[in-house]
Amino acid sequence: MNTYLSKIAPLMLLVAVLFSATSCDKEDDQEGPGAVQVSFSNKYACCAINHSDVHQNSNGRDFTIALSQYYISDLVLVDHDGAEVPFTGQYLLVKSGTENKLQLSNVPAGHYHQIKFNVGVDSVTNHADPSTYDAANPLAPQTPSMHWSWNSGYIFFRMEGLVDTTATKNGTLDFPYFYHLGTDAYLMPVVLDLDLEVGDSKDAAVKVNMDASTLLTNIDLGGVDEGGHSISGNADLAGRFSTNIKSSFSVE
Amino acid sequence: MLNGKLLFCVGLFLVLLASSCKPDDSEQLDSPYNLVLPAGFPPMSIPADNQLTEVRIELGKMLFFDKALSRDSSVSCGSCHLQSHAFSDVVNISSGIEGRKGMRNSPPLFNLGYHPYFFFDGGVPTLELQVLAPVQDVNEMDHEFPFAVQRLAQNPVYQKMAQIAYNRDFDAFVLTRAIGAYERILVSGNSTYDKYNNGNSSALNESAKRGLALFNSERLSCSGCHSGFNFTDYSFRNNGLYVQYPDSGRMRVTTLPEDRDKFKVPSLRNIALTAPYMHDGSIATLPEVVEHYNNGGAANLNKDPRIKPLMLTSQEKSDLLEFLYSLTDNDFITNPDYAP
Repeated sequence: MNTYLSKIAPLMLLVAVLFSATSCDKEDDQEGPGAVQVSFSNKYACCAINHSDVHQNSNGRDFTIALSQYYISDLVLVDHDGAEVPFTGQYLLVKSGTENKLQLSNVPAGHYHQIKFNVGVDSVTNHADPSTYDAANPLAPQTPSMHWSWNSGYIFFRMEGLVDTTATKNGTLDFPYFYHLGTDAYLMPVVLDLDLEVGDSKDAAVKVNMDASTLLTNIDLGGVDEGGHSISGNADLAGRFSTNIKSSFSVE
Repeated sequence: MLNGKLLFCVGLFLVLLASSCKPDDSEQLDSPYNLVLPAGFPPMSIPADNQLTEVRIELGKMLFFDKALSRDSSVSCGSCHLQSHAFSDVVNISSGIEGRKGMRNSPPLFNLGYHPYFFFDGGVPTLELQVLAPVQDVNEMDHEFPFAVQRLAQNPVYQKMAQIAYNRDFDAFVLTRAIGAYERILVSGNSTYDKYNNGNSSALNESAKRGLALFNSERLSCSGCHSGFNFTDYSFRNNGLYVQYPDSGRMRVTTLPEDRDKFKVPSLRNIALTAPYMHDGSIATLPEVVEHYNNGGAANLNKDPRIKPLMLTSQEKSDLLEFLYSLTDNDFITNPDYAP
């Protein structure tokens, strides 16, 4: 009996350690078999976004992108039979100039031909209280803020910078523009083709790029009524911007 | 005989179980707060994660009056919400940091636990979420919320109280919950009118009684919107202040054209204390407010049908005012429990 107990005692210790590790919502950093790392990078055409780079839009106005960040949620991998493996409850705040990685674990072995995700957060999460999350959680209050405090809900996509609004388009960056897109109606589903093999023994990786050069298609940045406010008040502009956001993603 | 190694393992097991989350022995130092509601008030629903306790309320009160909440430590919640004025301000638009001006009048704070949403446009659903707004508003405290939390968390008194009240380090949750708890106990229901309504028929003078009858009359329809124990139905209405508004009100939140220029109907309790009036503080005195409604307001497309010329006699106007004055709760504005 004693011998039996002394044999299982280390097991009890192991159980206790596991219990203490999981009972406080500690993140599990271990990459188990079938782990897939999905990384997001913000680019402008070829290259990483540099906050001081001056770009030119289709109307010949110079502009910069000082800030471009957004939420990714509800990621789904689709296998070759069309079966979906969802990763609900995982949220990523993608910022420019940093590593943005979402670690998916327990991914069944197989071949995956599509990746789906939403830019933004689902309506339940959108109307929850950011102050209930641990400070390290991307849904907690952020600096700069990704939440509208006066109209409770997350800013799904936030883009800001300076633009030349001079009549002669002389290159003076005279106006601070900002596009803040959110509210339930603008949750933006993205579906991308993929060629991903997940095996038991090796870790897999997916690289997703967001190309900011496509964000301003059909938008006269710096033009009258085309910049400088939270977008939900201008449904037409918000619609064009969200269409551009959805098409700005690609798998590398 | 159990061997020592086994005992050690079992002991460690128990210790790890007990220590895997923070110990909650500090909870013993706090005690539930018994919120006494005035006669005739319905029960107040209080969120499960923010039940009222003595330390939560005390912490919330300290935070409410702490200027460290604002970016340059120049204004607190209490700077624009004065107890002497039922926690409203005396100016049309309050000054935030650096004298900045927003666009709306500081509302009085009482009976907030009954409100289904907050702000004149109803954009925020809970008292706790409301705390996020003035801290971050560029014209109020202009503080990134995580920075405000970091600064306040350096205060050892707040840390100690956060542990006792919420069993956790001071963080955004503690900040929003504690202020919400304090604001929930700001209950006002002991005006002259309340005394009359609760059976003291001589509490109101004859003029105020006539004013009450006018207030409830179909002809004036005041109580069509300012209804119930808190004198509001919390609906969004346009009361004909302007033909065109610089502030689109409820539409700002919903984007619906039918919500343009509509604002949340305010409570009329303590109304004599909360001048200036309207969402933008554009009417200076209560007699002028009565005059506005008597005139029927400007021709706004979304004006509520109740807003029409009332043809009040001067006696009726003074009776109506006498009734409105009876809604002042002097106990509320002098209650030392609410003061810093």
